[in-house]
Amino acid sequence: MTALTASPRAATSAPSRTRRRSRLLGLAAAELSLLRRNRMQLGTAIVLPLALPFFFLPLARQGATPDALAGVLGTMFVIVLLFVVYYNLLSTFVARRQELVLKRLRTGEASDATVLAATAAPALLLATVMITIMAVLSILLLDLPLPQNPVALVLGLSLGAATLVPLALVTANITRTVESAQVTSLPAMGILMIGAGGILPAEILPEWAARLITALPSAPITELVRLGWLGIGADGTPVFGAEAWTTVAGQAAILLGWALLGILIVREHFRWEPRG
Amino acid sequence: MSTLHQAPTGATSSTHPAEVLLRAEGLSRHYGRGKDSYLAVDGLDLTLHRGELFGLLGTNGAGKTSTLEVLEGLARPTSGSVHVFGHDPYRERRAVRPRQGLMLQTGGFPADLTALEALTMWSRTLSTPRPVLDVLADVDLTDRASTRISSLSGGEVRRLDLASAIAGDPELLFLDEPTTGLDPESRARAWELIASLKQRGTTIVLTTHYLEEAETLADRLAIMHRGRIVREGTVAEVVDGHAARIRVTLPADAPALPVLHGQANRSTSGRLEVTTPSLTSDLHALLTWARAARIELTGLDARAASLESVFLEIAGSSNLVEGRS
Repeated sequence: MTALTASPRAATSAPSRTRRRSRLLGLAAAELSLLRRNRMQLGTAIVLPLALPFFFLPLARQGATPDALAGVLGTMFVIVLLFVVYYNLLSTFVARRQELVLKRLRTGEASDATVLAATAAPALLLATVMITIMAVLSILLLDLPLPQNPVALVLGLSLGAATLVPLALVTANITRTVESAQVTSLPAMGILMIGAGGILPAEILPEWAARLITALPSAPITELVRLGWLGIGADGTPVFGAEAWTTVAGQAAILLGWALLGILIVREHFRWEPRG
Repeated sequence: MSTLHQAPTGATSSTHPAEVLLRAEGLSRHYGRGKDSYLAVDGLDLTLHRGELFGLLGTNGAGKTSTLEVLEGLARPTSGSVHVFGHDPYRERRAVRPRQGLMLQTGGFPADLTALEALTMWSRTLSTPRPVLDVLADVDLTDRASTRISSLSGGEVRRLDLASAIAGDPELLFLDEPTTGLDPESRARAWELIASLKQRGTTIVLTTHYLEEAETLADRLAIMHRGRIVREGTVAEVVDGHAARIRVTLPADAPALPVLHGQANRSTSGRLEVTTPSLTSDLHALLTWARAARIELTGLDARAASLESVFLEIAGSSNLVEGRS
């Protein structure tokens, strides 16, 4: 420590937007290295999306039409989002909090939003890549047509993924260790699976329950995937033109509402440090 | 320190003796409510000038870290105000953070990153980062650059903490127990580094458990006790007027004591303790007396007032009060 190599302080500093982006990228790059080194997280995130289409292969073999596959298609995407985005990020946020990384980053120049967004970025990137691969695999394996309305499909998946980030943060508040995430993630996972329509078919439920389910964040994801890919509504009838876009806007609004609610809760109540 | 250059912005206290960098007035910090409420910082005033190294000392639980968190802008005071560079460090963090560096007590690096990756991650959040390899060299971690944090020793992580604190070339640096957990050699090197930062004009606030550290490095220091500053000034000022002490064990048949300036306390077991403002003359009187009476002074211990004795007296008074309540 004898040789202190002093560099002159930068006379002019970069514009704040450039600095903000540089901070985000710097933190995200470190987080990506951590994800690469976490075999467990990385393994789940890669294997699950590759394996899922094969589970639906028997259904397609039995001669199920795309209409019949429509329901499971949405469920398949919700499962992937839950594991690759929600569960993955829940573990990551808890790990960073327990290692006091979040506390340290908060003492620096990066804003709270930058720290959390950068921590979430690698998992979101990985989810994007894996979901794309899964979609291609599904088209080939399950004899699906090409997506009819890619905008609705992409909107549903990206808004869905974005909504799961604050949900992971809120869940992190009640999760003391990375291991206990296995338990604390269950309620949200279960409820969102119901919302995806994969567990309880809407037909066997009373009307009020069925309507309640459509307000869960996973319901619009399923809806937008079905509409975007197959161009059909929940009842299996084709949806066209203006009607399709009205549906897209309505479903997107539900997701945005959840995302906004999540962000507000995180802003006020997120735990940045382990409990005392 | 052969390659030390003076930074262009590094003004020293000699050129701007009056430039106030940090001012805290009536600072209080409360934890909890009702019956469990606890006053950690109690009406603290503090002024820091550019270029000075200020030592904040105190017993465990004296409120050092609570104070530091408010000065650093990590927490809001319950009452009172802080201004750093003329800004509120909590509400105007964007104006303050780029110019200050913090060394926390806690680490906070991801275990699976290497030392270099962790410091790079941190540096990329800074407005004016210094080259990462230079900073690693400053704390002697160059040969550990590609070692995972999980494999670093406690002392090495501590040095990486220090590296993060100075990576942004801060004007104001907070060091919370920077050398705790370091071996003596690393500690000496850390002191050199801190001294060289001060030489460049960096203003430094330092908390420490090592009184020697404060004595060596600090221009000015304050001793905190129960949320208040009880002594403040240069080491000489803090020690000044504080009584020296002589301790000795006398044989049971020793004659009456000579006349002393200080207060003598002789116990039935033969233990004598003299608290005195004039150590030399009282010691001389005792030695002359002992020689004349042919008494052996066993366990003779004479101590001038030091930061340590001042500190121990303050710490001791706290134990006494706590013992009674």
